[in-house]
Amino acid sequence: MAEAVISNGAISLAGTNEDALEVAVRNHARLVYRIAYSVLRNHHDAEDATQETFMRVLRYRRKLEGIDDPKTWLARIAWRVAVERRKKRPEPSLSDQEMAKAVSELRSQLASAEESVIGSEMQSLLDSLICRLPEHLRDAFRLSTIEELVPEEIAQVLGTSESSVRSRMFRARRILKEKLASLEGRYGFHKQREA
Amino acid sequence: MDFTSKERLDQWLDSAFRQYGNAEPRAGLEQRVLANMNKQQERIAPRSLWALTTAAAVAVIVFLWLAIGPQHTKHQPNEAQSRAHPVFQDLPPLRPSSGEPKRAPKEMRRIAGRNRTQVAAAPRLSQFPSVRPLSTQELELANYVKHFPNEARLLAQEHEQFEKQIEEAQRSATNGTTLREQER
Repeated sequence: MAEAVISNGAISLAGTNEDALEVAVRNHARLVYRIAYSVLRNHHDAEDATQETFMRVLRYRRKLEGIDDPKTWLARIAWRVAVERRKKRPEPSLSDQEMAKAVSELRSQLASAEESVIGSEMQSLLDSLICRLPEHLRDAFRLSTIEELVPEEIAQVLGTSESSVRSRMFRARRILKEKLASLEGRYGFHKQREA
Repeated sequence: MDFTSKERLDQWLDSAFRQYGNAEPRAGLEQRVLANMNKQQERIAPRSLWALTTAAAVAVIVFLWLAIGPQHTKHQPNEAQSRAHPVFQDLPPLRPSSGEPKRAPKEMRRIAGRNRTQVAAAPRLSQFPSVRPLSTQELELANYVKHFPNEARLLAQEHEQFEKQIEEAQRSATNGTTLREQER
């Protein structure tokens, strides 16, 4: 893909640093995007954050050749960029109606044995529940949802140990499960009364 | 718990979190990123060239100023500098140097030495002290000497003799007092 881009004349990056940079973009742009999306939950913002991440990399491109693990290095930059951008935005909140809709979706999906695609309400519900987690649990959990990252790499991005990451992921999952159960109880009860 | 089973909820959570994290970007993300980086580099290159040119120009200006500038700076004229003017160089000295010059006190010499090291840091002049413009009095005197050199020489000699007489008188006066003290 990159060769075609070069032959089209769209890219004229030359030299070893630029080659390394191009390889980094080709191999890790998708990961950077997913990290940004896991924090920002918006495709447009995630793409902007991806561009900003690679602009920062361009600024420090001389370092790139001396780095043993460019994937983790890029992931850390992407994470910082996304978190900085997220700080400028308000926390998401769901109305009662949206919450009830998401819970009914959850009930119907649980009733069927097949794996189905989760809808936008369910996505918003999950996001709002994750946002309410304590910061250290939330960070580890968000990164753990990205399939390209293993706990060891998540630990490097967050600057902590692998065991700590595993423990945080487990605790975050347990809290989310409890919250979903309590929501189901609350909205399920309302639904029964309405019926 | 109202869910059909805990296992089913766990399965559902796994699937939900997988979908939550696996967002797909619009097609051609890598190309857009590379194109943007290329554009950024094109923008940076002329800016760095400008910065280099400006820095070189400033360096040249500073060098020229250091090389030429100090020779043109004005100083207050002093006696030694005035004496160095070519008009006075062919005249006999008004006051002959009487023996060894008086020594400055230690403190003064130390200060003078410090000043000398400061001056040495400046570029070396072809003539020291450098030629300075004359004061109005000195200019008038120079004009007089130019037009009436013989009279000026006579005046200088007279002045010299008069100063000698005064010195002798002072010396004899001091000798007389010492003799009188010895007699007593």
